[in-house]
Amino acid sequence: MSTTRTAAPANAVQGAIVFTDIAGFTEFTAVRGDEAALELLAIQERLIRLEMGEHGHIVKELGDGLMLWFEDACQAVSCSLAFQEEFERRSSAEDMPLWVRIGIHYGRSLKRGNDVIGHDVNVAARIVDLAAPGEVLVSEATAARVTEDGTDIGFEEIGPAMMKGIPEPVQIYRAVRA
Amino acid sequence: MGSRYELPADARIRVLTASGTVIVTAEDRTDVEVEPANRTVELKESGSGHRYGILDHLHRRGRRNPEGRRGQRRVSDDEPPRQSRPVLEVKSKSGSVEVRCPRGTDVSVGAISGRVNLVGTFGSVKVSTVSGSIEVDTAEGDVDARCVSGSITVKSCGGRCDVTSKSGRVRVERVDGAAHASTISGGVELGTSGRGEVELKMVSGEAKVKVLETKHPRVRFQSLSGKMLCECEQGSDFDLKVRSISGSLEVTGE
Repeated sequence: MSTTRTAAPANAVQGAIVFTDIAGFTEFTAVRGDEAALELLAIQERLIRLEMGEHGHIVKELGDGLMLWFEDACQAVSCSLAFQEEFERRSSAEDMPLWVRIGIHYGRSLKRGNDVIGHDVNVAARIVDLAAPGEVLVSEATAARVTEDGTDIGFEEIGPAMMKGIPEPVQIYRAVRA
Repeated sequence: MGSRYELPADARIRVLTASGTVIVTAEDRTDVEVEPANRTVELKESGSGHRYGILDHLHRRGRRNPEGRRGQRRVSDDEPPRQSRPVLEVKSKSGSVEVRCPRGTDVSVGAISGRVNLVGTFGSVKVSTVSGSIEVDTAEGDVDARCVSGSITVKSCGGRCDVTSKSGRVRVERVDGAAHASTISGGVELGTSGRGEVELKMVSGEAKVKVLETKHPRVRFQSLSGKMLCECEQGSDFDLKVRSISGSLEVTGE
């Protein structure tokens, strides 16, 4: 989704914005304590860095979530599915409920120091609100950029979503391994 | 009296609204009636409206296993590619909107605030709201209902049922396919015929699962501090996987 634009400013970047959010982090902290909560955050970040490699980078930390940026939408979706698979493996094996919700939108944003801002960043932030723990939800703009050949990514249609502050509906899909 | 529209064969209905109650009623009729009459109604040739054919592409790649286990998908080579389906789109910025459509119609609703109520028997149902409760009578196919804050009630789902509320109660009275439900703060009540897996994630709310037929679940309960009470004989008919931070689980049989 894009707002009305003229010539792209020099600090404009095109890419996939990924938001992660740990579900139940507050309750986990209450039950297990601050140290365990810090460890949970560290595990999330470590696993994401490991899977993401050079394909993307962490823009910033957002409480119990992260904002990531990928140049390539396909890599963003593929890495996010890999994050979830690793989170699930760790959650099942240990007492560490890494129930992470992930939302992705592809579009334009403006660099502001190490941060990125813009309408498309806001759309990505709204998408993660609708995700269930363990899900990767993507906008149609993201799904449309995932090339068919050579990937094992599939999509299930979730439907249109209206979002606060976003004037047009956004078609949402669930990304899955095909 | 609202405005009336022809609904092409295989068409589905999409309702989009920023605020206000949405009521969609499936009944014995062949056309669609929209009330009040001044809502924007448009027939679109494909699901996305602006990128013809993308749903076709996505659907072919995204056809999932009917049993519904997430991540395990089966795509049959002899299944023909699905054609883009026409969509009758009803748009409303604010105020209530009421739509009457033929029984068995596939419906999707996107809303920001306001109650969404689907009355009657539908095909598949997809509803998302930011704040506002969701109520679905009967879907013969799959249901996907999700909201950020608000409760979700589904009376009967003949296919796979996915329900997610960040803060709100989730209640599914009967599901015949697989079921996936999650809440952050809020309880889950679910009745299953035991023909598909059931997976629940709650942070602090309680889960109550009722097995509606003579089936024996393989129960796996993982919780940091919650307790499980299972009054149903366990077996291997279907998987019941429940995870919580502090919520409890109660399983009962028919």
